[in-house]
This record gives sequence, C-alpha cells and structure tokens, in this order.
Amino acid sequence: MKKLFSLIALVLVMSLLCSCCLAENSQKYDEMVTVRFVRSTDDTLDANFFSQYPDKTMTDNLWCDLYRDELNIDVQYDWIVKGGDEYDQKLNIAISVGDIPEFMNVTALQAKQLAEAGLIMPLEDIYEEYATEQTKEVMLETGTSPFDAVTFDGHLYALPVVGETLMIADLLWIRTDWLEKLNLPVPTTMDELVATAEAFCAADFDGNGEADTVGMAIAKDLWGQLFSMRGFFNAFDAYPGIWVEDENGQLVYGSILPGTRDALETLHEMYEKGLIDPEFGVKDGGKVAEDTTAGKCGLFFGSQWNSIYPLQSNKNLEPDGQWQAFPIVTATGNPVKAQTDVGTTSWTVVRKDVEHPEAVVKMYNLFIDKCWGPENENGVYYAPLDSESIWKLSPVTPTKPDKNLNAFLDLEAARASGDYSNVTGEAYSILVKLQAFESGTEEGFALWGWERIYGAEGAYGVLNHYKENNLTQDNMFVGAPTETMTSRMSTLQDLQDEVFVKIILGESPIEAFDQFVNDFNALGGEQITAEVNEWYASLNK
Amino acid sequence: MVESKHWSARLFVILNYLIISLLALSCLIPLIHVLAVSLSSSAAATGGLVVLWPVDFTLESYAYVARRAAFWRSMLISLERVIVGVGLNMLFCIVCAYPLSKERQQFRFRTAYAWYFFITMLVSGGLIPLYMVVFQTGLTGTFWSLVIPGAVPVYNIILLLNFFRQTPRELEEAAIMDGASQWRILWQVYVPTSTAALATVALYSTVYHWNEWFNGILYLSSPDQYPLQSYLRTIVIDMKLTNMGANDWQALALVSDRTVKCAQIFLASIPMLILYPFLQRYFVKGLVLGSVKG
Repeated sequence: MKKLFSLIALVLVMSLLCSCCLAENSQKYDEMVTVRFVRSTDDTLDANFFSQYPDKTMTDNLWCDLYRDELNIDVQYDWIVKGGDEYDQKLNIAISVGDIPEFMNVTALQAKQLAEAGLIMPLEDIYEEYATEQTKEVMLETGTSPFDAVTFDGHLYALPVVGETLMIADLLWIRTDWLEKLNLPVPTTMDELVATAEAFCAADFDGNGEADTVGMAIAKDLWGQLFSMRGFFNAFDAYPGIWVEDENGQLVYGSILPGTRDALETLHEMYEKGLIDPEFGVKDGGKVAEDTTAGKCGLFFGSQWNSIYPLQSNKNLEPDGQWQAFPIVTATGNPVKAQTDVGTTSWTVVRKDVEHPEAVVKMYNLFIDKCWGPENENGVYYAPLDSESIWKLSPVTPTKPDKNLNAFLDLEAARASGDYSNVTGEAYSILVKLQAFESGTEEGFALWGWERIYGAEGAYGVLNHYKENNLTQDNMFVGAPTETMTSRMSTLQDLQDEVFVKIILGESPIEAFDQFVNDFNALGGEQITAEVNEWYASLNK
Repeated sequence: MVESKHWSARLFVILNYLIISLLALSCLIPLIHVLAVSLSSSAAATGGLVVLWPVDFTLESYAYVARRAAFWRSMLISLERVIVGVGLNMLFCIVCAYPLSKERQQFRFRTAYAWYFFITMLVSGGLIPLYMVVFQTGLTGTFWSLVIPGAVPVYNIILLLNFFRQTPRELEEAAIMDGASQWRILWQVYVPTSTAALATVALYSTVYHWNEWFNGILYLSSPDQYPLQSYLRTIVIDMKLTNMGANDWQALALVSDRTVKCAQIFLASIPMLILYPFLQRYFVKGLVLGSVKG
C-alpha cells in the first residue's frame, strides 16, 4: 500500500512538473501565426538604427526575428506612417472607411469609441490567462489607472502601453554658475525665485550692455512639455489641467483653484518687472529654447530630460556654464507637490474577429522579459549603445515605468559603495555614458546632459526626493474622457489659456480669472465635474 | 522705357522698383536664412545666432544628409512622380481642353461637359469619400495613388481651353481644307502653336507634384514610399510634445537639429530653383497672349 502511495505521489509530482514545462512552452505557437499591425515610426529609428543597418527593414530586424523564433509569431504591417499626428489622422480615416487593422495602438478616447461601436474585443480573460506574473507586475507599477482608462462596462478593451508617471513632474532648472557668481543661494521660496530672476537680469552675463536677459523662460503653450508652467502653478497649490481631491473628497479641476489666481498675479508682476519675455505669447518652446541656448536665460521650470534638450546646446556654446535641477519652490510656505499625470498615452486594441488575440499578450510578455527580465538582456534589445532606438522596432513597447528611477537608484548605490560591479541592464548603459563624460573626451562632453540627469547631482535625485517624501500630486481622474469632456473640454482649455495669457500680459485685470471660473462652470465645466465625480464614485464602490 | 518728364511719374517708377524689390527680398531672405543655418554649427543654429550668414561654417549637415538613404530615396520617388504625374496631367489636360474650346456648333454638348469638369472645382467630396474611392480602387499603398487621383487638373484645363480659343479659327479651317482630322489638328496645329501655354501648365503641375505632401502620407503604406515633401514634413514639423510617450524625449535632441533640417529643405528646393528660370519666360506670355502674334 505504501508503495502505491509513493507511486501516486511520484506520478502527481511528475504531472505537476510537466504542466510547468507545458506552461513554459505554451507561449510558443506550434504553427506560425501572422499578426498584422499598423504603426507609426519616427526619425530616431532612421537616424539611430536604419542608417547603421541599411539592409534591415521594419519587418526584418532583431525584434521581428525574436517574435518569430521565440513565439512563432510573424509580425506584418498593413501600413506604417511616419509621425504621431499623421498616425492619428491615417488611423481615423482607416477606421471611418471600415479598413480596421487587426492590432493597433490607439488613444483612450479612440479605444472608447471603438468599443462602443463594437469593433474591438474585450481582453480581460485573455490577459488573465496569458500574461505572465512578470508582465502583470510591470503593468501595475503605476497603479490600476492605465487599465481603468480603458475599462468600459466592466470589460477591459485594451492593453496599456504603460509609461512612467514620475517623469512628468516638473523641476526647477537653474544655472548654478550664475548663482555662484552672484553669491546667491538656491531659491526655495517664490520670493527668492523672483529675486534670483531679477539678479540674473541685472547681471547681464553676456556683457553686451543690453537688457536682453530673460528672468524666467516661458513659452506660449503654458502646459507644453518644454518650459511648462505647471511647476510654477504647483508652487501656489494649483494644479492646472488635472483633477484633484478637495477637502470633501470631491474631484475639482485644478485650473480653477484659488492658488491659480495667486500664480497668475505673481506672473503678471514678474512681467511688469521685465522678468518675462514680453513676446512669449508668440514663441513656442523651440523658439524660447534659443534664449537658454544663447545664454540669455538661467532659470525655468521643466522636465528631467531638459539637460539633454535644450540645455546641452547651451553647454556646447558655453562649456563653463553649469545647470542643475532642484525641487520646485513654494509660494505658500507649505511643502509643494509637483503634479503628474497618467504616463500611459497609448493602448493596444484587437479587432473583434481576430483569430489569435492572445498573440499580443505573448508579445507583451516577451518584450517586458527581454528588456527588464532576469536574463538582463536590456543592453541587447532595449537600448544598445550603438543603436539606442532599437526597442522601437517592436510593435508593442510597454515600458517598465520605474526603470529610469531604478537605474538612478542603482547608480546612486554604486556611487555610495564605490562598487560598480552590480550595475547591470539599463543602468549599465547609462553608467557607460557617465564614465564617458567623466573621461573628459570630446565625445563624452556631448553626454553632459545625461550626467545632469543620472549623475550625483542629477535630476532623478530630485524626482526621487519627490517620490520618497510623497511630494507628487497625481491626476485623480484617469478614466476615458467623459461625454461632456469630449465635446467641451478643448474649448474650455482654449478659453483658459487665452484668459491666463491676457492676465499675465496685463491686458485683463486679475478679476478676469474670477470671470473665467464662472464661465468655465457655465460652459460645461460644472457638467464635466459632475461626470468626473460620478466616475470617481463608481471607482470606490 | 522713355525718360519720364514729370516728377510724379518718376516717383511712380521709383516706388515700383522699391516695392517689387521688397517683395523679391521677402521671398529671397527665408531661402538665404535656410542656407545660412544649414551651413552653421548646430549649437549656433539652436541658439538663434544665425541670420543671413553662416556662423561657425561647417558642411557637416550636408555630409550627414548625404549618408541618409531615406532622403535620396524620397528624392528619386519625387522625380519619378513629377515625370509620370506631369505626363498624365498634360495628356489629359490637352485632350480635355481641345474639344471644350470648340464652339457650340462644332460640339453640341460642350456646355454640359464644361460644367461637368467645372463643378469639381466648386465642390469636392471631402477627404473621407476621396480616401474611400482611392482605397476601393486598390490604389492605396501604391505609387499610382500619387498620380492618378488628380490626373485631370481642371484649373489647368480652363487655362489651356481659353488659350486654344484665342487660336485663330483660320488655322483650323486651313487644316480642315487640307483634309486633316480633328486629332491631327490638335497635335499638329494647336499643340505646336501653344507651347507658351503648355509650358505654363506644365510648370504648374510640376510645382504641384513636387510640393504635394499630404497624399503621400495619406495613401502610402510605408515611409519607404514617401515622396520628398512627405518625407521632409515628417522631419521638419515639430514632434507633438504634449503626447509624448515615455522615452520619446530622447528623440528631441535629434529632432531639434535645425541645421540638418535646413540642409534637406535647401536641397529639396534646388530642382525647382533650376526649373523656374527655364520656364519662367513662357509664364506671362502663356497666360495672356495668343499664338499667332508677331
């Protein structure tokens, strides 16, 4: 009898083992499965990859080989278009004439429309069944919001191409060599910041005797990625463009908070003092970047990557100049929270009649495993030094949201211990860049921008400070755009920007802001707020 | 010109020259600026230091463009498009304009046909119906989607039609007396006497085909097939910064490289710069004058 038991136990163990290996292999199809995507491409792939491997194509490259060899999936494209706007345009037209691609990346709004039209299939079961633990973990690194945005009537209609949330938070970039020359401290309050800007203007560092120094850079698009004013408004406890919780637990639009009024008033005062370019209303980010590059401006709110663009070109012109990122200042005396938003801007959807919808989940698995998995192949498949954009060759590119921060923390740990042997993966690729910069060669000099992000004084240190001290304000509304939002929000935002710019320029008195708040509510804002809160309430149920 | 006797006439001439020079300069200066930027160092260009003369002269951006296969591939496609597209345009233009230039007595339904063409200038189907036609006829994703839609240029037909009408009837009557068919009259009488108008129309359609970029992006299924202007648009227009995904910012350093953009824009304008002086002399004459004068 005992023998029988042990035999049964053995059989059980064997079958368990087998099912394990089956599960492992089940990722790969027995027969070749063709998946047809559409996609956009951009100049970086041309410049960083195809220029070096001219015989490679969009369907014949490292990533397509990988999908073919490891999964038996043959990646094909119905069409490829260059440029993000062009992709949206072409996709909208293709959808409206009924030429719907099998697999495609769309916005949350497009996903909602496609789901309502019954053109795409729910994916929650497939995702549950086929996504590996590793994938599920990475996809949830920024919380459930990327999934919430594309969940309609309880069904998940799209897979989020997840991205980083933290990197959206604004920082304060300052020319530290100017601070040193004037013997000024790093500003931590709004008053100090204004004083610093005044001192920079008065100093006339380019020495041409003209009053052409700009105190603080600001562009016509107040909330663009370049010279965004978000950080400035955050200093006043205002959160333009995102939804935040008020003291009653209700969501309110961050642009109409009282702090916004104070921020606008301060901006107008700065304008009166000549600390803001009087022509900012007609200059886009690229144009304003000319001021920082030409050494006419030493202070602005911006993103962690600004040292690569546009500051690196200033460094090239003025090798003795130095920039550093600092936490945004406070205007109220309270600790300041920098606003963030959903880092996911794109979702993969699957046409209703596709035979192997799970193929896309398997591709997600493989992408995440190759780029951030335990095998540590990041340097081959994600961003090898000789062709940084190689990851874009994959039609699906879910990014590990914490990867940049983790890379920074790995480097910090290595700097503290002096032991760089444990630096691997993407952090290693960055380490090579930092070491090249430290070597003092001409090639290394071009990597100054990277050192300003990941070095000991790097911008990620500030972001990490935000994260550790809970100094970020997330957008609390992460659902798909509501009905009124779809029809009214862009008009309301245009109105808002117009009013704000007029107040800054002094064309309207500050009271125009109160009028704007009334108009906002009357022209649909109230309705939108109600819809947003309805969504928020449904979330907590 | 006769020497002016009166000061006001003189002033008129001076003002004329002044205004026309200013207009010419306003066309020329952007081109010179582009050339100057393309020959400057990247940092100087990004800093906005370049106006009309290169700063830190360098040919680096041209060397870079020379290595970009995509640019030259697109250039070839554009040339191909101009040759095929202008050929088709001219053929359809001539064979449509000729019968429409006839009197009612010779061609009874002339007015109806003329309206049939003309109406398309007033109302168009719009983008999506147009796309549907091109899609359903299987042209999307092929080179032909660039030249077949728009192969019948109605504006050019009207220009040519009016020119044909100014051709003296006597020429045609003489040819008929000699027993020529209408087909022969068209190709051996009208076309040779209308070279001025034809050159004008050819220039129009060449410029159209060279500059048109939207169809390339709309109909073609891969950037490998883009004509030059579609390609240029994708590199020149700024990236949509508000909608950038994680890591797209790495692209900015590259995209911001104005010198390379300017080098490509300048190279792309060279063929038209060469073509214009050759055809320009027909321009004025072609539009307003008849065929048998002088």
